[in-house]
Amino acid sequence: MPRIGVYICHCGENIAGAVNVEEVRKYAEQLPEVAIARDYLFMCSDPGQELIKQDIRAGLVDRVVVAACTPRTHEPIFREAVAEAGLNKYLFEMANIRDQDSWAHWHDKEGATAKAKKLVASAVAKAAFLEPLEDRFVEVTPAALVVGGGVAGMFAALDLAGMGYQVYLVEKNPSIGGNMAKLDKTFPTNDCSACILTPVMVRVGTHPKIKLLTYSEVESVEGSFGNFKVKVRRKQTYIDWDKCTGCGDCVNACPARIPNEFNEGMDNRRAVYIEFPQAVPKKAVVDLEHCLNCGKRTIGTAPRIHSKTGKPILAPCERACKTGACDRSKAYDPEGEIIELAVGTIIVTTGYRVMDKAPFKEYSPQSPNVVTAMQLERILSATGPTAGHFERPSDKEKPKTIAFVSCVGSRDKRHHTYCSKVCCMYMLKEARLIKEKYPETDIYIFFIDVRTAGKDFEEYYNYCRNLGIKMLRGRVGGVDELPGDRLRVRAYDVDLGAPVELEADLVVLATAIEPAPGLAELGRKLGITCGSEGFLKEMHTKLYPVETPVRGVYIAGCAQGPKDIPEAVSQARAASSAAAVPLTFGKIVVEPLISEVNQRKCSGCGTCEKLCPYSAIKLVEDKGRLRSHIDEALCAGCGVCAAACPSGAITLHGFTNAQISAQIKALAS
Amino acid sequence: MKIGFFVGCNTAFNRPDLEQAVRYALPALGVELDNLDGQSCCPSWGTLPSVDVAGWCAVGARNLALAEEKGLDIVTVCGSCYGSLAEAKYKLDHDPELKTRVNELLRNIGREYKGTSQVRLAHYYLDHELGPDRIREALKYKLDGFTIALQPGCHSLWPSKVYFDKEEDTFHPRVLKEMCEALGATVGYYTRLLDCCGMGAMRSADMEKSFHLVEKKLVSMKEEVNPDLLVTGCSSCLLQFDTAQKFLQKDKKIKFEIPVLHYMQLLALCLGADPEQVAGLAETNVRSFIDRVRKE
Repeated sequence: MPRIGVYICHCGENIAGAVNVEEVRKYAEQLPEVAIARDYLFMCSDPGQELIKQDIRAGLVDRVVVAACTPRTHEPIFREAVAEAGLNKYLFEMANIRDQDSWAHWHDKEGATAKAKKLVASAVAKAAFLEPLEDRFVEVTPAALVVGGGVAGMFAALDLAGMGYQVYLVEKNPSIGGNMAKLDKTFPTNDCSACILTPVMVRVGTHPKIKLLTYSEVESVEGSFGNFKVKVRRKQTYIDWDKCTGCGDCVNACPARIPNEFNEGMDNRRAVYIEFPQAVPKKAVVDLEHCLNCGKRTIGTAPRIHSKTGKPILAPCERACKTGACDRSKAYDPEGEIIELAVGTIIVTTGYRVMDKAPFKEYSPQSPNVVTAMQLERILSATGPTAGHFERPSDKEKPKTIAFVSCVGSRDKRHHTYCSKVCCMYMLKEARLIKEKYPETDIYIFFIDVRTAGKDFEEYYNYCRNLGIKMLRGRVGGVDELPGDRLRVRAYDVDLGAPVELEADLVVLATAIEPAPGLAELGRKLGITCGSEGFLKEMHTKLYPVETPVRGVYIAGCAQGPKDIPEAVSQARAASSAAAVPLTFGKIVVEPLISEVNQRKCSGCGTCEKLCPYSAIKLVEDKGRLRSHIDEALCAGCGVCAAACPSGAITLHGFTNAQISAQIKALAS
Repeated sequence: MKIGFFVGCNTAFNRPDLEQAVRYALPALGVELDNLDGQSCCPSWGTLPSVDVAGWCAVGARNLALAEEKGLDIVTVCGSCYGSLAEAKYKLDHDPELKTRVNELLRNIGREYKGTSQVRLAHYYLDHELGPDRIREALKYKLDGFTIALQPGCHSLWPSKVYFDKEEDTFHPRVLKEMCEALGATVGYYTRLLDCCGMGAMRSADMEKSFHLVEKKLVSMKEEVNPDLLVTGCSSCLLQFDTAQKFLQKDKKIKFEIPVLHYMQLLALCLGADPEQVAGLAETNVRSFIDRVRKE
């Protein structure tokens, strides 16, 4: 017969303030199979744990119930204490009489006490049916995958590679660098973005432990924590990268003109192009969708032969290429190449995109002089469409008056309810860069709230105000086009309590940060979910900010939510450290609180396979019949399969039918 | 083609010449009018819509039911009627609880709202059902060489989701412009096109502010378009622009006058209507504009 010890925690006043602990203790003492019931001020403290250990060592108890706070934070501590005293750690059960009782029923002491009794009785009833279980271990593949080659992804990759692990960095664009590569300067120190980012990109490109897979996307993810099997689709570049030197001769020869994504559509690139001057790898790709097939040189065909000279007729890009990297006889292959990777952990750093101006019809998006802040960033950048000359798009004139509009698409229930977090600072930064270079420029920032929380940020804001940048509190209602390519900004000045109008040469919209396109689909492949705003959800906002509910998958940077560069880098380095723990340990613990199929009872109906949210269940053929098979490493122990199995063939260890029934009976009695 | 003509109080009591214009122009284009006997207040903004949503929708639904019983769409020339009726209809069609409550009220008078009739603004109806070409063919007088400035009216545009006839881009409205161009006129863009004219509650509550808005609009269109005529799509805008100018002139706020007509008045004139009948109550000098048109 089990000898159950019940230990009731006062949690200072947290529990004892609402629950009559002594009454509960007396009640517990007389429950069947309870050998001992004790109470203590703080059960999780050293002396509290010692009480439990002594009773186990003295042979008084062989099952432990602690009635205290939440198992989410405290179960591991008590399990360890139980194990230290020589008992199997799964012979332990917790009753949550704080979060789910004393806190919830603080003003009903009698009710709280009665509920505590029920909860304790229920835990005791379950404890009688507890079985000893053993942890298992799985070997870990000592390699990691980082998805997204922006600043967060690069730091995550460098950290892991620096620890000696093989890292695969997948980036969907031809070059790494991400959005940060587009920025001119970065707040709060106004470092030149390219100057601080390029060395990092080069380090990533040359690190012997980092395998760069650019122009590639994650196709599928299988396997589980410690041993993921990832398929990556490498898009066809139609340029032989082994031969390409990045000289750009083919680019200069190409006659096609397509809006340049890197310059936010403000100038044109060619159909064969290198993404930007500092690209890593600095290689060309052919954008077949916009290729003009000069000289009828469609990809994958042999060149026609000139009737007089007898020489092959080549496209200009081919003729320009000195190394033979550009060869249009190369097979047409839109499917690209599938590369299979084996990794132990995965970090997702897919970043963000900025909203386009088109949805904001009230702000005259058809005017070339209404630009997004990212477009202004390119206008200010030396590698941008104006080569760093400060010009407005319509007529290349230097703007004399500039209006910034904040919260465009952010904090707006029509678009995104969240604050994009970086806009206040980047508006101030862009305004300051302009004002410092051209002090005669009149700059207005229309804001709802100035949010400059962060180290050195408020000082930055005050510095900008002292420079003479004018801050106006009030929402901008509309922007009209005026003759002479000018714009009229109409706003409501909350401080004046009146509508105001401003004529400007350039209007800058601080458009919202949005999740990168395809993030939800990538999330589905990985088994992690997006929140209502579309960013990836972390396991716990405060305590597990880079972990996800799928073990072995970590997130960092703007894939998790809007954030600035310092924060994205900190988070990336946190994620790399979290992802390195299992790689370093070399094996991972698989908790035994998972489901198991009784193969003799299983009818192979497949109900469980469809329901499993972790894709842990597969139907496997066994002696000509289908049987449900659970991948122990993938199973998260949610119990959906056990509850749904029509044959009762699935047992969820730690939550068996006998244990649950006993709990319910105790609660209902 | 037959429609239920919802006259609206501004038109019936303040500008019956506009009512005459509708009664001339639509039949001339082959659209038969039903008087929707028993039609009441729409009810207008500032009355029931401000204080009692169910009451508003019940009065609106009663008007709509009159058209439904005859299987007709409602056509009006007033932005307020258009907005109030369309918004009430939108609410009723999207809120089953409200619809039930309103139909309980209507049962007392033996009527029921079903949601089968649409609410249309006259020039949108003409644009979508006849098209500019049919109108062009029917004209007796053309406006070639005349420049027009527009006042579409806010209720014809927003909230766009409640309207059956939609603009592709409400910030760049197309329909009134194309309907004026169909008459042969040149339509000029001015930057305060979408501004409020100051009519409605503001005109009742704060005349000075209201006139300040209409002044800004008039100055903008004078400077940027210098039109021969201002054309409104809404009877309330018509009243505001037609009556405010003499006050502004007296206060020396403006030194010019722009004649003002509702689109349906202009259309009736171009179709050959008697100016006294369809524009006789204008306070601005539309007569000289009409004479010029007839002389050309």
